[in-house]
Amino acid sequence: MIGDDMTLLDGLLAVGLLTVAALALFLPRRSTAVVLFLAFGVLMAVAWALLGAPDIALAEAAIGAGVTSALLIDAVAVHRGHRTERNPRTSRALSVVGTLLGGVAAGALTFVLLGLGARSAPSGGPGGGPGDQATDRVWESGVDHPVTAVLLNFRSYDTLLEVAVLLVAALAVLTFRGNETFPAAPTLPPVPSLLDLLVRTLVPVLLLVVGWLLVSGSVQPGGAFQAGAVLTGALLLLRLSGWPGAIPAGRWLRPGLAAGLTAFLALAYATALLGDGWLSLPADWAGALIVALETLLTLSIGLTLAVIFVANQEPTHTSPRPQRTSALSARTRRRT
Amino acid sequence: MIVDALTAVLVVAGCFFFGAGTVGLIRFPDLHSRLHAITKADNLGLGLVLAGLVLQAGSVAVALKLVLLWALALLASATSSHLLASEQTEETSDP
Repeated sequence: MIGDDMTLLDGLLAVGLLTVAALALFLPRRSTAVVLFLAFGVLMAVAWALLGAPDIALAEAAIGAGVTSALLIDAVAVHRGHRTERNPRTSRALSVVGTLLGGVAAGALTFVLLGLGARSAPSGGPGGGPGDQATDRVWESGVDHPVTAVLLNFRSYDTLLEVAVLLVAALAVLTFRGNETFPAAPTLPPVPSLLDLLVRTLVPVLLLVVGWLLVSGSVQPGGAFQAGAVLTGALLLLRLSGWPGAIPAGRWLRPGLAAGLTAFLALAYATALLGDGWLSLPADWAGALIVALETLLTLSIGLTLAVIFVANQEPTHTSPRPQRTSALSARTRRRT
Repeated sequence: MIVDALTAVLVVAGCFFFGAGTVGLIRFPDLHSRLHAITKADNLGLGLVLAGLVLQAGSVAVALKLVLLWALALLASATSSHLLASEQTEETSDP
């Protein structure tokens, strides 16, 4: 079943993916590994597009090859002055164990997905597999695109939990800053005028793309996660070129982060109390509700990913944190 | 038929320029020449590949979007290579 439609391009892509992944894991220099991770993200996006899943390809390109790679590059660039070599002994063992575990997990997942795919083949019974059931009932979901229908109507509980996971990640990253406040304005040297020109040209285009991806998710590949990732790119561009108000740091930070999950929970409770049940959308309101919910989700996801990036940057002041050192010295004083 | 052949020629030429840019990235001695190779050759390669795809586009809107892609990629790569080059110039010129 696998070897039926495989072309040379598919084979080359598979070999390339495995090679880039192995290189990213086993090369010693950290900056090389990060750039190879970026290349891996790009190849994965191409793989998803070849498999006929453009939604996931868009999400992988925007989040994997975009935001996550930017985060890793920022992390590597910060420590450029310190040691850039990883400790060969411990990281080699960890790499091998991680590779084995990842291979086992990927093999198990392939086995499960092939089983699901076999069940939803057209030669199956009248019930069909889950894919066929979803595409049959798209008409009552309020949108025209099966992937959006599944994500935001049929399996919206899973999406609710994903949004909660994103919020928890943002809160965890904010907690790592300790008692330092979130940096409101980036402290940067004066920005070159070419970067200013790029930002002034690119950010309006990016915002237009965000709106387009958001709205087109109803009829073609798109949706809240992809639009949110592009919004993250726009916010990070503004931030990195010195615009102060791009990422709110004061009283709008936590409301902005929580807006998506709050809207989702409000919708869930409203349908539970007033409607048919938990997250079962009424058929004539479903389209409008989905678009409204996706708008708030886009804002939240964009802000969450941007906050994760900014919160990992170096603190604005370089003095040691006084709270921690005093606690440590108090403990040592009590011991002696 | 001719359109398909022209698309194939343009895409292959674009890939050749991408390959030339990558060879320059690997073989050139310092940052500035590598940036030069990457920016010039890769953007020309991208332009040729997108020109080939424009011929295959179904509508004018898709073709215009592809041209917009090329313009944005030009802008972004020019800016990023300028930033990298000027940062390194500042670093090496510090006493």
